[in-house]
Amino acid sequence: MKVSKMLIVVLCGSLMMVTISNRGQTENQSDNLLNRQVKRANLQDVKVGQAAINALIDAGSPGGIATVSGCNEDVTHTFTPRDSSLLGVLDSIVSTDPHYKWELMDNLVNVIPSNGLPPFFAVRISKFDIPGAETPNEALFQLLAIPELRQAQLNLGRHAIQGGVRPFCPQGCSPEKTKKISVNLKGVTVREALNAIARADGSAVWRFSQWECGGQRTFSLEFSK
Amino acid sequence: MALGAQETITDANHSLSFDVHLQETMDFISPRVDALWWALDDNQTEAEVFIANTRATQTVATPTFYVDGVAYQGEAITLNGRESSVIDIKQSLQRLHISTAAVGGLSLSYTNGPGAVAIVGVLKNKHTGFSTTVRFIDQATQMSTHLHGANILIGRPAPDSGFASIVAFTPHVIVRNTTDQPVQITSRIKYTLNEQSNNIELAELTLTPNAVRELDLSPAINAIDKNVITDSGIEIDHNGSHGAVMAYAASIDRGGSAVFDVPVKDPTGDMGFKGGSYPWNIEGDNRAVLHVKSIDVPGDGRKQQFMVKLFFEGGEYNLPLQQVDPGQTAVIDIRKLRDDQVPDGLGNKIPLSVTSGQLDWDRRAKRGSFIGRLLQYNPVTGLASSFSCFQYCWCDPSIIASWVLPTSHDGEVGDVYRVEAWEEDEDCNHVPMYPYVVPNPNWYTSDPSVVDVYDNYAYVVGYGDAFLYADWSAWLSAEQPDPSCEFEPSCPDLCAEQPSGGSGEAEVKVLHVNNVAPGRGVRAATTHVIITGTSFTSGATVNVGGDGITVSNKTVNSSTSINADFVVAANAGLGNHSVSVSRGGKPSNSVNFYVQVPSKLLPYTDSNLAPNGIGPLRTPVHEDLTYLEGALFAHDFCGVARSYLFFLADQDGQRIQTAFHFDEIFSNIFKSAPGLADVTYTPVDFPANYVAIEDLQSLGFQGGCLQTDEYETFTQKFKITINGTEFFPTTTIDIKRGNEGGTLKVERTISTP
Repeated sequence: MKVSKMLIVVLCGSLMMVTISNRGQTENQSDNLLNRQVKRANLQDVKVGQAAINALIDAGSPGGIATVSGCNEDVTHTFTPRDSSLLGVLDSIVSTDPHYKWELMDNLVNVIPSNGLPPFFAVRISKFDIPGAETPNEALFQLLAIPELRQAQLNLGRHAIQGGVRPFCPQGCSPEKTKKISVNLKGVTVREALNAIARADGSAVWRFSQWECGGQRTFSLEFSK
Repeated sequence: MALGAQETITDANHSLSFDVHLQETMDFISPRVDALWWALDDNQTEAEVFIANTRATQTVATPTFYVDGVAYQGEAITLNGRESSVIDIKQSLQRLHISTAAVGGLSLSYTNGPGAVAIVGVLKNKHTGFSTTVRFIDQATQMSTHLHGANILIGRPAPDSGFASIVAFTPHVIVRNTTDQPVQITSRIKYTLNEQSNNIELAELTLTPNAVRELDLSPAINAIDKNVITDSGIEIDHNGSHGAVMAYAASIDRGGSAVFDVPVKDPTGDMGFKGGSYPWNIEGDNRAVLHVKSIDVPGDGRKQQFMVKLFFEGGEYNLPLQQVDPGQTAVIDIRKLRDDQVPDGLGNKIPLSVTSGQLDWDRRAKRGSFIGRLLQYNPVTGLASSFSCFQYCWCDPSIIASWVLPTSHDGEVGDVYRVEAWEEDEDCNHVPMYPYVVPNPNWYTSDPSVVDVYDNYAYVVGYGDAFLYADWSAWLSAEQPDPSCEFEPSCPDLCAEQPSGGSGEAEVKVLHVNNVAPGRGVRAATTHVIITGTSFTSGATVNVGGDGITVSNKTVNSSTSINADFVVAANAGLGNHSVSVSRGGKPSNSVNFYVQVPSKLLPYTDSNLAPNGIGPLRTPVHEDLTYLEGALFAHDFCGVARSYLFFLADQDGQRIQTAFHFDEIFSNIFKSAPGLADVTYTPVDFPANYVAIEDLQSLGFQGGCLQTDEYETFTQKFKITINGTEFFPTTTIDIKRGNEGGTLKVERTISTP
């Protein structure tokens, strides 16, 4: 995957208020991003989506992942990247499971189905302004509440919510992150909006999964970090 | 006065020896001297008195002989300047038509002022080798009614005295009343037998005017019989005026050749007998034995103390402080000290090649009064001399330094060691003379929980740093001219004394490690530890036993705290590693640091939020779903949820308190309905100060709800990554969550092999 090719996609696809770097800077930033080290991510006996999110979170790289499944349970893999860079891991994932590809979109890594994202991601939002969300998921909740997306969500099926793991610290484990997420978007797609939230957070990764079996559709969409 | 002298005249062929104590003018304050003779009970013993005119001008001396209390004035002797003469007592008595008496008195009055004559007498028997000195004393110099004599030999001498085993001594004590008034005399013999002090009171005696009598010593002789005694001495008291009585004592062996004179003196005369300075010679068969007798009466039970120092070519020898009971005599055999190579207080010995030298002794200031003499004798030839020259200082020695030894002790609890308080005294010329151990100083401790001190022994009872202190009374003294006559050549010095004190301190350090915190650390991580203990110093090193732990960033914060990083390798040995602190190469005790490996997840109990690690079952219907602490997880949730709390535990079931990366591994996934989401997780980095791992198990929907029989089961395992090293705890959890048969549930089964 050539970086320059991905840059063209980014430049043509959005009118975000987010500043877009010039080419030289973007190349350097992309190189820095893809050279980040992935040393702790669990890549053994995991599905593609899990491997990708493990890698992005370990690398501290904001981004997004989208997976689509049928009735059969997704197979698991043990990924063996050529090196410990994020680029090496991403290449290992998509080469192991060609149903997926990775893209660099405005300096964010997106791992998406090779045959494209669901139409939901192409839905365009006329305006989305979040002055200060506490968490990426709070911003996501507000995004999904936009009337333009309510109908689009219906086509995705039921919105599944799973649990999660976090440190339990009644007295506070470490200084709470006080950074709030602010985005102001106009005329962007859902994908661009999700990436914008991820970028605004600095390390969040949106994760979209859709299951379709027996005529029933279920999806989940959340941010992890 | 800076010089004392004694002349010893020896006739080795006849085994005769006489001691002549050279005297100064200041030893006389009247124009009369007195003496006594004895042992003139045979035809072979001769008695001669030698008189010398010390003046350049003529001096006339007139002798008076006292026999049986009757005075017989002899012919006056005219001595021109520096001229000398001899008085033969037997011949003089014959000229006076007096039968020779075994005992008698002789007084000599002279012109030309006190000290105009030097006079000494001798008694000798060339046939038997008997010889002794007749001493003339200016009785006007006597300051009391007490007379003391040290080391009067009675019976068998000590086995190590050098005499043949058949030798036995008979003591003789002769007393003379030098006045025209009768005096009552009480006397006693003191000695030590089998380390027990004994006192034999002799029969009270009335001395008629001018009488000379020998005391009956038979009670003491019979009591001692064939026993070997030590520390023997004679004490005589009388009720006359000062100087009314004079005495002479000697011990004679059976053959009569070995005569040991015992000077019997007023202990308060001669500058108070504050010490002595004698030559000694132990060449060949010679013996030199110092006898110092306490002249104090028993009172408060305090020991009387004096110091002794030997000088010889190439060195000196400082005896420990000598202590005796009041009235007792101390005996110091110089030859024995040399031959037995007895170390002195400083560890020095008298080289075996040394055969002569000088001895100085002094009383310790305000710690008793003594008389002393050095008995120089040859047990083979029978020659004997007695030296009793007094010290030339008016003052007692004065303290110049004090300290405590050992100055520091780097030890362990349970140590018991001797501590010594030292004092060094200087003489009147400010020459440091006597370093000695102070017997019973007052001891103190700065921290009795670390070290206690009792009876000159320190007892280390705890850990830490402490000081031992000692103090004691001492005296400062300095000689200075009598202000009333300081510009006159003969003006005597006075002694200005003032109380002072000795003191010293010694440090006690007990290196100890109390604790290392945290006491556990995980493989592949660096654990910052604080080592607490006692007596840490800046150069202290931290030692960790076993394999795989290195120490870095060590900082000694204080004597009780060290910070350090324990870098635990991924393959470090598991379990306990000894941790100790070394100072100067000496290690402390050790405590354990336990190397952990992530082994299992154990339930963490929060009594309010999750008893036994299990949170309440929650079934919100389009409500916010939160974590246990209240943090928002999802809006508009409809389904079932329950939180579980865990902590990461080591192989010993103890908590691992370090930062780690947390992954979940799922297997055996079963979904009861096709529309359920996949089982996923998000890896989480846990900080080192985490309290618990909250696993929020939920199944539900946003904008919809969980339907009947929508549930899923799966098996949950875990992977822990610490600094790139992966660990796989053995804990397995089977989860069932959702709606089963219309019942909302989140259930689990934990298995930890």
